[in-house]
Amino acid sequence: MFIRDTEPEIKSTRLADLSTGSRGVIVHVLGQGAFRKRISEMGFVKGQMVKVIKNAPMKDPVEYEIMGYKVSLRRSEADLIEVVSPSMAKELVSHYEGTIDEHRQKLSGVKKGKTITVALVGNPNCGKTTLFNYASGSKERVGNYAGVTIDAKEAKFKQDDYTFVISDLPGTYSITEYSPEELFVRNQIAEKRPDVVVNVVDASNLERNLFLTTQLIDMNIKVVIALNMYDELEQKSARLNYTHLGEMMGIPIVPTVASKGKGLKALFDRIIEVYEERDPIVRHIHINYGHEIEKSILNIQQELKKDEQRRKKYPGLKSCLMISRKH
Amino acid sequence: MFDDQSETLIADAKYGFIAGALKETYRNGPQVRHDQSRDIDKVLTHRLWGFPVFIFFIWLTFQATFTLGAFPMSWMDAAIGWFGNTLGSLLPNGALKDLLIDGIIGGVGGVIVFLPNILILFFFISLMEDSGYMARAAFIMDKLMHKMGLHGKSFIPLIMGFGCNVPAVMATRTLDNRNDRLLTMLIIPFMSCSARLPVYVLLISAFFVSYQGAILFLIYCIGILLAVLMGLFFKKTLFAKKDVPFVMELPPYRMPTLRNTTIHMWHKGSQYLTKMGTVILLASILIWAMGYYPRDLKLSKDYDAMLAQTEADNALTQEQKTEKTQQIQLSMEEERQEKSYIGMTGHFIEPAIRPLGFDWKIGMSIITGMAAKEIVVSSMGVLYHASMNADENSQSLKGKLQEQTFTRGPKVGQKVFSPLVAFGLMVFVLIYFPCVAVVAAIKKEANWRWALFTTVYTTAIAWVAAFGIFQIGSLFL
Repeated sequence: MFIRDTEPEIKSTRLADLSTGSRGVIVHVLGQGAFRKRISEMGFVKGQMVKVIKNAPMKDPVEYEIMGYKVSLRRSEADLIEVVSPSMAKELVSHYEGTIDEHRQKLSGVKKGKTITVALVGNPNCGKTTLFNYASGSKERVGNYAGVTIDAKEAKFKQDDYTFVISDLPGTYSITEYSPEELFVRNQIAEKRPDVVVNVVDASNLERNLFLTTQLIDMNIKVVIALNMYDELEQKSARLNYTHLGEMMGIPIVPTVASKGKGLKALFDRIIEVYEERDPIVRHIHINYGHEIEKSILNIQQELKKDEQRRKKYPGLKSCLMISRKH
Repeated sequence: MFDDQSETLIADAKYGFIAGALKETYRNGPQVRHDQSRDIDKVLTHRLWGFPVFIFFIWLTFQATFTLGAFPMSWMDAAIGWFGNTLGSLLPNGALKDLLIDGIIGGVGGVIVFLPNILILFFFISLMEDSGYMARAAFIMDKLMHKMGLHGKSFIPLIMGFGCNVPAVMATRTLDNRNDRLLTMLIIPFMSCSARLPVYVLLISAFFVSYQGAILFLIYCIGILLAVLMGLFFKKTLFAKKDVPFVMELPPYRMPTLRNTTIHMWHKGSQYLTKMGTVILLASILIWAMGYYPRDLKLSKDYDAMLAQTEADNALTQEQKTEKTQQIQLSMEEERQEKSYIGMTGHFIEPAIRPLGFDWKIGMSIITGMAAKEIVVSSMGVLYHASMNADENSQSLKGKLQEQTFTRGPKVGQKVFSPLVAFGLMVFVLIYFPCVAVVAAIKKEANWRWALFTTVYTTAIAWVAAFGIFQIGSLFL
């Protein structure tokens, strides 16, 4: 092997080789399939800074910090992530292509009734079930869905003149097909078509929690964000202009502290507004995936347009949903 | 740029969008808040202190679940016994009375007896999950468990299995991945639960004079060893395809709320009663009925006449009368059980268990043990003519077991039990068919196919193990 003297090669190492306390910036994720998908959904994407927190007592797995939250990986998995030292990683920042807005209100085709079906989705540990429990008391009944062993709890309660039927779906980081739980959540949204989806977001860990939100944006459904554990964000004396964030994403955001029952009345009031299509913020946006991917999506859309049957069959497919953009 | 896969590119772009949106709206606090979670983790996942602390929490959970849980269990037992007796004195004798008292009330008792365990265990599990400790427990145990093809979170259900397999199977819910959950469920039955202990105590005290503790320890170790081996085997065969990445969030520590914990506990308890309770109840009634019917038996002797004769015999003292009456009743019950459907099944399977050194009475006892393994002891009490309500400390039952000879087959007249047969039987009871409650739990948590699979494969391994012990052991002893 000869070394080119003109262009110094950037030396990358594997995440598993970093010592405790040191940092690295991700340049590349190796591996295939489920692992790769999972790891990028959890925030291990190009340009992210990772810090090694500590080794487990038996040296495996290893605790890392990324996007302000902590996660553990087995060494064999950390070995599939290439990193460079922070000083070498100036050009690796994630690109922001912006969004393509459509100033069009989302309209639901169904006739309005006084019963609103609400599905709760969100990451594990975001306080989703606490919110569900608080809102419903303990009056839930557990639905048993044929063929799956995953429970969705359901409860009914009244606020003003509206009856809410809320279901608590399993906590997931993403709604692709990575696990049966994710598939279940996706099917619950795509097939059962709840009137409003409440995306519970952990305010102390916004970046990763919002990943799921971007997938909900792609599904073109009515969403309200419950910005949960908002007190923790305030305690850190951090500032979040959630009204503006909501406007950008086309999704109303309501701060809540579910463990104390704070903000829940406002949350359900907002759900009514969205359901009645009176909320000015609600609109459909498109995340711009960059020129090449957008072009590919367009191709897929055109292919799918030829096949109306398939489109009806898989209303949840992202590529299918993007068809609506052209309408 | 396009050496990456499309999924990664889309994830990149999504995070790019999020970063851009937050850049406009989010301002971090002036200084990073003191990280409490890191301080707590300095102890809880410490290189040296991590394990003792974890073992302490597990010990606490185990003790609370099974030691503290034993109190409400005995109260409930007493209440059910009182209820049965009261009802018994009110109802006329007959099949309906027996069905109500022995079948239904006994079955209901068998269902709710697990409830305190389940409630307490899930109280603790809920505390661990809500506080964020569960993820740390998996973090420190993962290396060890991964070597066995399991997940760090499998450890807690497996340990709970030593108390009772039913809540243990329910506790596999803490595992996020279905394959990990199934694998853990499949090997939980090898964790020797407390219901199997009376069988071991009886046989060890009857047939092993010395090294009693060592034998008991060996039985438990065989169970653990089998669990590890089967875990590796299933990992390589049934669940070989997908090894799901261990990307596990370690959430910040948070104070669990009583409200949430109570709801979780209540939810699990009611789920157990409605989803598993009915299956367990039906199965218990079925096993009861198999031992009860047919009723129109032709018994070899006229026991009623013998009882009347004893009662009328003035030459006997009151004590002798009671003694003789009991003996006659026991003989009657013994013969009736032999001729019941369960007894018939016991005879039917005798050829299959003879290579293990078992006679039909053992066969019948292990069939009744499918309802709950401790029933093996009380069945033996009746079948070996010792007592109607024998427990593992019954001296007469031990004596009878030691004297028991084959009544039929090629080995007529020879002693049934030797230390070798007793050991084989203990191993068999350890491994075979987990009780109906566990099967019901697996059916609920997985599906009936996995439940059926568990019953078949455990019984098959039990047979092979007992066969090996008896046949190989016979060569040397």
